[in-house]
Amino acid sequence: MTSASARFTASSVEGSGSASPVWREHYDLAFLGVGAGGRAVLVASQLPPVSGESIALQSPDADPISPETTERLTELGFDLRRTPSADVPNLVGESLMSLQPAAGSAPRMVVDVSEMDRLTIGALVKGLASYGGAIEVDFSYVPAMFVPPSGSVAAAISGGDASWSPFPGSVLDFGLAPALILGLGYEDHVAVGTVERLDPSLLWTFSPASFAPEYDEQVRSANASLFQVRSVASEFVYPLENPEVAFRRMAELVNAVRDEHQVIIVPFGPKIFAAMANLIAAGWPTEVEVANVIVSAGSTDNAAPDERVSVVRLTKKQQ
Amino acid sequence: MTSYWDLSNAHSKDNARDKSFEEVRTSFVPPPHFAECALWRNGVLVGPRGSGKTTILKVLAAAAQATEPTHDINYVGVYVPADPGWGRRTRELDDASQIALFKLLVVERFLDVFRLARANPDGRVLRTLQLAPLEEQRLAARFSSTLGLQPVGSLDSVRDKVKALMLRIASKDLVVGSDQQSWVVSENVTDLIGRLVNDLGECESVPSLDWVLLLDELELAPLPVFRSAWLALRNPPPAVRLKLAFLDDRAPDSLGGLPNPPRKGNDYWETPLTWKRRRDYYDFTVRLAEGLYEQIRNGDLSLVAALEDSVLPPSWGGTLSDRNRAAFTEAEQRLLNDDETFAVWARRQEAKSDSGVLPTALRGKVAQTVVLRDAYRARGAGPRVAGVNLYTGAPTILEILEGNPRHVTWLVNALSREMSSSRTRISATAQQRAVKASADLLTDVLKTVFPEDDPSKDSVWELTDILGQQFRTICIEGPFRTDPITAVRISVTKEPGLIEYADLCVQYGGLIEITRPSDTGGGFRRFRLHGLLAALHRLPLKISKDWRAEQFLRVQDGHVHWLRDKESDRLQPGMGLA
Repeated sequence: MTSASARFTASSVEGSGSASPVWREHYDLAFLGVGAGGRAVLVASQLPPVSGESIALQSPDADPISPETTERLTELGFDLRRTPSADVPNLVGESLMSLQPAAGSAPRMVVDVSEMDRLTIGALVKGLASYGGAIEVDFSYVPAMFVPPSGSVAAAISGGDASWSPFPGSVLDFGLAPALILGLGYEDHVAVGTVERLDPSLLWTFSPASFAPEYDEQVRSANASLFQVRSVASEFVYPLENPEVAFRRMAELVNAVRDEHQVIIVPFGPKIFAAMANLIAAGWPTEVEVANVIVSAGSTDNAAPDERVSVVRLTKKQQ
Repeated sequence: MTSYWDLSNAHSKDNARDKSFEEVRTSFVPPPHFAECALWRNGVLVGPRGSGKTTILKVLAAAAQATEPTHDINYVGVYVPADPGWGRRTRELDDASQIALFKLLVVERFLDVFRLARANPDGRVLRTLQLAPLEEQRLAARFSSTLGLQPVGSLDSVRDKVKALMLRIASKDLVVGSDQQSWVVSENVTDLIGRLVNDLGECESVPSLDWVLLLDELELAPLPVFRSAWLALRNPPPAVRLKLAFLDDRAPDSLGGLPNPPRKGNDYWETPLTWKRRRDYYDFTVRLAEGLYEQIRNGDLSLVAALEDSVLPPSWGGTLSDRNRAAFTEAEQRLLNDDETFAVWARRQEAKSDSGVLPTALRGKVAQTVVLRDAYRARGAGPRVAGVNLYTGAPTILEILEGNPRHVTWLVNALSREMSSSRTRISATAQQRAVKASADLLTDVLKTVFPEDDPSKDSVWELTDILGQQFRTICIEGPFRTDPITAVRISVTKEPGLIEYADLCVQYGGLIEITRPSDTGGGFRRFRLHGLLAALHRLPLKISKDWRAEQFLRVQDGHVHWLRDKESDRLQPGMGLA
């Protein structure tokens, strides 16, 4: 399978960032990552009817979810699958191929990434990118209620499923200077370590303007050392209720530097940023690498949901 | 706002990896062993970061593009960089595919030379590679045949085909060896380039050219690729030679028992660069930091002032105080008189300047060089020739300091920021703050979990280990000194067990920070632990100022247990953050 590019365009969704975003009237397909925090259930309970499959994904390595969550998702029509991330592209492809949308209309899909691990997010985007037809996808994200970090929250930019990466970049840009797009999260200090390791020639940071000022403050505090050590080409802030801002900005950056740099995106921070990063890489798979990001226990993954839902709409034309 | 860490920024961009061939060639000061490196024969360059490996290879590659003869180099150098992405992007592939990708990368760079020839019509050697359209068509057809590709009509098209082939192999769309590309398993890289050179020899307008493949940063390449490059040193084809460069920790011994391995002095010649062993290199940086600190501690603040002034932007010449201006001028002149290598570099920069004097933008760098070198020499850290050797491949000492030891500079800079013009020495509190800031920064770096297959991991751990051992030797086992380099101290009277804890923490802990207890009452035996007492693994271990060792640490079964909230965390190699 060669790395064909799949260009998406992003647009905003009315009501994004509120408790009641304006979903489409119906979807043909729904995927969500499921965890213990109840965020996926919150989205599942809001969704309009889904004509095709509704799949709740969980990594085989993750702790099993509670019987209550399983029961609730089943009630809502979701089929729970424990699927390795490497198998997700095929799963997405098969689900899409099984659809029979009306002539001239693209399948409409919704993906909730709130409790999906980042590798699965990348794998899911890989599946979407491999699908040759036109498609419309709403990516949703419910942040967790802010909980101050307790103990050490470690993060790494590799590890886990080290033998497979949805968007590993390309061997064609060997020797080009790295340009790093670094999403900032609230884990202490990992940004400076990442920059030290990758030693990029160009560096941009993307910080969320989230729904919780305490979270934003923690992001600033956790990454303060980075700005003491390295000069940053630009520090971008993207509003969590409008993730397409991050998508567009990253697309501009990639377009500007891809001929003379190998672009690496390290998506710390909200999962919706990881989704945007992978969608960018899908557009330029031979020029952009998305690094695997692993965040240790102690993160907010299993915290209770904030009530607000961020939604962004991605469309892809027929290839 | 000026940051603590500006000094590290000042040199971190000075890496030959990010410079063009021309930039490297025109700023190059040949080290004593350069003539040996430049000979047309198989060579191996081994040395630590910053010792000039990349610089030398880029100069060899650039010589053919230059309009004037450069160091008697009459061959065409094909520069092939490795890349930190090698491991990440090819780890899923089998050995044969990785080696095939490597060969194709070399072929791509070989074909790039023809593009360079078109772009540099005056290039002394490369101009002979400018082909008439019909001849290029014939050559493209021959190359295509040799590489098992569909025939194409231009060299750019051959290159595109090669890149497409790389992409297919990388994405497992092509099983190496099962298709018409049998060369990927049957020949080594020099043989393959030798066949392409033979094809080139069929062109009537091209004189016979010698070629050298310059394979840089091989420590970043996967082991099968390194092995393949290493074995290619044996019996290269007539017109092709190979020069390999890699860090000194990637010794060929690591390749295991290869049958009929290349022999030094027979199949290749080895040039160790600058520091024969990495340990010597880091030892130098530690002594340098110590030397810098000594001056500051003794109330000599000129060094700090010089460092501060030297990191100002190019306009600093207008803002420099008269006192420092005079000092700089004197120091610069001294450097010009004392150091032939520096003089060559400075004269070249002056010649490029409209005014005929050293450009203002470079004066800061000179100033840094002067103060760092003077501090180094003042410490008696090595013979003068060592100072000269610092210029191997790089114009200033700051370029040598690129890479992992940069936190030594962080420390110095942090200290410099603590200096107040109203004081004659930095207060103990300020020293503590500076060291803490430096240690915090290193901690942040160490907190990034390095994957097992990341080649940069070992060098970071090794550095921290070496620094930890250094400070252990100086601070724990060495004779008592009142004000050591570190401002972090512990007091011990009746708890000799702490030494045991510290010793084990050196083995198991990544970083020890023990805040200073109240030690105003005399009679305490004072030990010093630096914040960089780091060993093989990351572990921020903090002990509050009212510590009692048994409250926090317990040794059992050869492991340190950290007691916290009545829980016991066992510290083991490979463990994540506590």
